[in-house]
Amino acid sequence: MVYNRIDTHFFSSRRFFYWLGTVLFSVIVLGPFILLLISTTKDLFRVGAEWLSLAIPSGRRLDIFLRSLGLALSVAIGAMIVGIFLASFLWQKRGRLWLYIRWFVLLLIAIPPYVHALAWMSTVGFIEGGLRSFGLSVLPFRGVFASWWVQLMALLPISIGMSLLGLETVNAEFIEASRMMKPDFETFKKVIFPLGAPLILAGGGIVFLLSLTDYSVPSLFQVNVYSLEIFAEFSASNEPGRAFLLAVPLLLITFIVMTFSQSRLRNAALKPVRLSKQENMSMSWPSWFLAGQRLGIMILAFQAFVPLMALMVKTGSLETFYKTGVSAYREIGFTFWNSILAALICLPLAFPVALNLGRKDRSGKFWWILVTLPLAIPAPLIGIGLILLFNRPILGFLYNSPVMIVFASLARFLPLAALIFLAQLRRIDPLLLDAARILQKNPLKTWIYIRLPMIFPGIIAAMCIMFIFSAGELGATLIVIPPGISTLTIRIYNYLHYGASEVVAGLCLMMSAAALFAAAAAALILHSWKRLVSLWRAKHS
Amino acid sequence: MSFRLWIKIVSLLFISLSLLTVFGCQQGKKQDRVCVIYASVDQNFSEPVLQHFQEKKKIRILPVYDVEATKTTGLVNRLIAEKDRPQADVFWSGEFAQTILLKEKDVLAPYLSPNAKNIPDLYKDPEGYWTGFSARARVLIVNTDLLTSQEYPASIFDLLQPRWPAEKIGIAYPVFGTTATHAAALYAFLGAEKARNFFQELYDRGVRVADGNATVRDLVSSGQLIMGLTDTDDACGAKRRGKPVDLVFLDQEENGLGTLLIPNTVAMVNGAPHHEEARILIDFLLSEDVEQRLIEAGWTHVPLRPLNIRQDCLENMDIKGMNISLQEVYQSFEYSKKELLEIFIR
Repeated sequence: MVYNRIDTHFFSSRRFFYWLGTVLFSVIVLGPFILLLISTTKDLFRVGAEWLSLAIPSGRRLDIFLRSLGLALSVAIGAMIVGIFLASFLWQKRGRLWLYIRWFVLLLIAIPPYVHALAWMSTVGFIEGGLRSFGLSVLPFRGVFASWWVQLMALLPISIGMSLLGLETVNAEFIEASRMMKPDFETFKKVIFPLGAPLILAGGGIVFLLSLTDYSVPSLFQVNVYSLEIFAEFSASNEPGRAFLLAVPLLLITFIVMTFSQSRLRNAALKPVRLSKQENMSMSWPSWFLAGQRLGIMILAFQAFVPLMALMVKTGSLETFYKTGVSAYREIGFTFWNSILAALICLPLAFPVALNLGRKDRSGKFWWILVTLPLAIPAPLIGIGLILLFNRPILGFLYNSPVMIVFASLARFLPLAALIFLAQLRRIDPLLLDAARILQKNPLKTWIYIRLPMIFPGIIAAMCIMFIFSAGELGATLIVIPPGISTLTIRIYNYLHYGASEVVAGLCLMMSAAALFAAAAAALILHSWKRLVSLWRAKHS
Repeated sequence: MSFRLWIKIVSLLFISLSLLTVFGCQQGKKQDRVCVIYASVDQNFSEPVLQHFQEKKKIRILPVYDVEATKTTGLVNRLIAEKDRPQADVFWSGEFAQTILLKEKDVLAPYLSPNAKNIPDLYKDPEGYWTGFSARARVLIVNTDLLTSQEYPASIFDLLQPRWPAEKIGIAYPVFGTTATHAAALYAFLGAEKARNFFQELYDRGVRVADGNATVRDLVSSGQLIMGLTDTDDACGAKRRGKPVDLVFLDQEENGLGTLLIPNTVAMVNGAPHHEEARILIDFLLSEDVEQRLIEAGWTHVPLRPLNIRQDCLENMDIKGMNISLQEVYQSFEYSKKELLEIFIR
């Protein structure tokens, strides 16, 4: 059990951190979930079994639920297909420029899906206007297709990132061996893709869940989805228990989706893999696959170009951009530090959980359930759960502090960080670890120069995702934010309602700039670290 | 020094520094005279008022602002969840239904402000748990490039007329926000059956159901819709920004239904940590000066007491409100939401 060996080796002498991380993860992520469960159970005893019917969708609710599943599934499939084409293209490309492009792909996660929707509505409106002037008419941009397209655009970076990570984990030696005997595409189909599939599927699973729990985009295009039903119920009844019960089908679906990817991911994680080599990979693809890659590149260009252009046009001038920044400097600063803190804290908390997720025994399966279920809980309910957990006399010092915003981000997105770490653990070469353990003189140096570089890409990826998602978090933050403080996202949504589109556009551009800064900093750190390690190795070899 | 010891020292230092930072922040805060307000009112309008209060009364205001995107599940639910250990002192809402709900959930405490004396009883809780002031109104926003003034509808029931294409008429989901309140008012005024039939016909016609009132405003402003139901603050905001829109108050004839007036409401939170400051803030918000500021800023448009103020966007317009009490509207709320959920979310 190589994976368990990694586990033991990494943490047997550092049980303190392992348990500290696991306990804190349990408190912050599982605490709100468990308290909501207890509160709902109490409600059920108080009200009777009448509420239980909420947990089983029927009639109108079943229709909406099935429609939501269909939409989320089609978004996930679309994102996976485009993600695979694009990842297979980017995967071959090495060098600094391509490294930057890879990080750039992640950037637009920072723009709220709602803003993607507004950008696409404006763009389509502009095209419609042009076509009308030639006497042509076009179909209105709304309904399921519009909703699918905008969600695809908003969530595509996740799928590309995970697909790329999946392809990167494939052992280069397997590829080389296969290429000697089979054509390139056969190698891709029979070796690379199956080995990368677990992470590609995990990416699809995350996209599926995010699409399933988002109501903002579908409702803008007049598509009623199940998450809107949950919000409508919560808004009408103000009973978290009723909303929680309505969310039960989403919990079950999350569990099924994650169990499906779990079985593959966990098996794959137990196989020893070596780090893939860094040289360029020149593959010859069939023409239809090349066409798919080109289509993927076009879609990616649209995905980045349309919202950024729409935002720049709406912002109008540099002066507006500057003024917007000055007026929101406190929110920008606060969001930036809050996101950095969340990104830093996620590391020691998510890593032990990733190790738990990789366990082959029953506890590993149990951890998968515990980690993935909170992903399906609507954000305001997580906020309510955090209030139940932290608004107590003994914890008052925490509840009234900005730390609660960090906790809200962690409660929502730590499971994603743990999944990314798990993916990274697959890339650790056990032979190298064994050699390091045998030859080590100073455990600290071994850890810094041998082990840390191996998990470094995972650390950076988890931090970036955490930073970007924390910056955009709204639902749970609003419920726990301490009085007197605001975040950039809250300000964006305030202005969205007010109708100041130039301010909204300027603020969204700033959010993208912050994400760009985070990605650039991450790339720089990664690059410097690699150089440092190679210099150190050269000196001591 | 061994690795293990080194790590332990670093982590102890980290934990100590974190605790010191958190406690330090708390200590710093305790020295000021503060008041915590949860405001379900657009930040653009409420923030200047609260800053003015801060400067005038030398009481530091710590606000939390709601956003429309959370579908009114934000601050109200936070207040309910915090009921046993309240953090807020004052709740200021842009409407009344959620405030009445908070009273029923025992979240509010009674306080009769001396500044509310000249506000009609219709807009105040008889037991003093909340007070209404300065109202917005429901309005039909029309795109003046697409509709001439002769073509404007006069009644809400005109929205069912085939003369205006249904797909060019917008309303927000009538289960959220002020559209839900408007729907509840129609249920209370017309009776459940008539109101249900109206909304069912509206839905069956295929009117565009938008994400929120702001979206209705944007769709009408951009010409994607001819007209839509929204609030005066949204419509006036678009008009102020030079969009080709006009405001039409429906059912204004002598025997007409009138339009729904939606007052702001302010209330003290039960167990407010800063009780005295909360009273001062409520008195301030209920002052005529604040009402004037809110109207001038464009948040509200209808003073609830005899004040000679009128927002420029509603110049020369007399608005006839629906003759119905806020309590009656609230009582229809749960039922109307339940029915409309079945009709509109499917």
